[in-house]
Amino acid sequence: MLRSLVGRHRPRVVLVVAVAISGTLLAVDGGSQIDIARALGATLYAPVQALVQGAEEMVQLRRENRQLRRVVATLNLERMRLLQLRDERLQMQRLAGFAAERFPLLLPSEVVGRSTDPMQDMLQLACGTDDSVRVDMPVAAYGGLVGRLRQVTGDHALAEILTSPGLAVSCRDQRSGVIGILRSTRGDLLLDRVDAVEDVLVGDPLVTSGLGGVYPRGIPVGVVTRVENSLDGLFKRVEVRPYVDLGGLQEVFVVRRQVTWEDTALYSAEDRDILGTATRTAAHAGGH
Amino acid sequence: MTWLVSACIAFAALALQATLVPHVRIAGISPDLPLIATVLLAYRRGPTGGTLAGFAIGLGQDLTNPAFLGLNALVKSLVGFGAGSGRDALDVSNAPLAAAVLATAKLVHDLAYLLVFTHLSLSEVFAGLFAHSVPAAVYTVVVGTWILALLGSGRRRESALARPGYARR
Repeated sequence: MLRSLVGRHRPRVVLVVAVAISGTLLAVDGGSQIDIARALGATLYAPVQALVQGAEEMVQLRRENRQLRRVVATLNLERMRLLQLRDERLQMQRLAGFAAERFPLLLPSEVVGRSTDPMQDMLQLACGTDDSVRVDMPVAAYGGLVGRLRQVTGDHALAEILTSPGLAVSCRDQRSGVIGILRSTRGDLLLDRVDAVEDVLVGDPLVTSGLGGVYPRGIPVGVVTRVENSLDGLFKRVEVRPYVDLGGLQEVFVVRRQVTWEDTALYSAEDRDILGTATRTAAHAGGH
Repeated sequence: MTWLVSACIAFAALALQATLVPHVRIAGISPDLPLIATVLLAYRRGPTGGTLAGFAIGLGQDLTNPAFLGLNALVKSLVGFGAGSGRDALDVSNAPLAAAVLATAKLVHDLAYLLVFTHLSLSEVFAGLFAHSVPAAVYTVVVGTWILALLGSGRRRESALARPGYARR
């Protein structure tokens, strides 16, 4: 009897049920509403969100890939010109009896974690002794120096970054050649040991000096943002902003070792294929 | 029309409302695609299907703003039931009639919504209706009439096929 009654008034029964459920949802308190919405939303929307996110990432990757190809092509043209200059320079160095120049060999590594301890600003990297990585190896990113490895296990490494209070890097002012020690002091990145009479100006780029033997010479570090004399009048207080956004790092490069500046040492066969493609692309673009 | 197609229409309306509609706002007024989908599905599936579609679409909207969880589900269930009950009397293949149905649905929807939302504060209800609902109804009618004309042909075809002459063939 109930079934026939429901069957006869089916639309009204469905409406009453829908209204009852809606009313119940409206009647529950705000916190529970959010919990219910979160639980239902996670179930219903999660696959769609994953799909949309995947599609967005795909579009972004394609755009980034196209942009990177263009950059690689341009860099390769620039590199070819620089190689000519390098050869001339090496020849002159050999004639003058200088030691052969070395070039850093990079290992890309993903950043998988970051220390929350303000006293030790560390990045956790997805590389380790299995990748021939060792303590004290420098870590860099696209923009410049990031820090150096402090601890290394089989497949993970901890990198101490520039803002960590324990890190000191010998840097050179690229414009004037003045050398100082870069270290983090109470949250500021300062170039230490710069005499008051030294020539350091706001906007000067800083690179690693190569002194001390940990960091290879010439890695970009940052730019001078403020210069003032210290209270005792003996030294300058030089504030520096690093080139690398240390808070948003996702991928870094470990400088595994330094090799002679030759293509065969720097690039694998696959790398040289990509360089060849980029050269052809650049030549093609130049032709148009 | 299968439930799968109905689900796709409902989902497409929710997805477009969240992604496309914010870009086609005019002076803060936007078309109500979930409401158009509710009316469309109610016309295709009758009062039961309309109520269920309205409830599902409304709940889908509520999940994105859980402060009034159930409010959209409640109001759209009523609109779906109403539109589904009136489908035999009102032919939405007729554009002016479709426009009237959509405008009525939008205004009834917003009236019910505002009554609950403002806790029966009539001054706020009327202010909301005139400031937002009437312009939104116009925009919804413009967009919805076009959508119903495009997708409503399925309903005419279904009706025609259901006639005895077609059924015997």
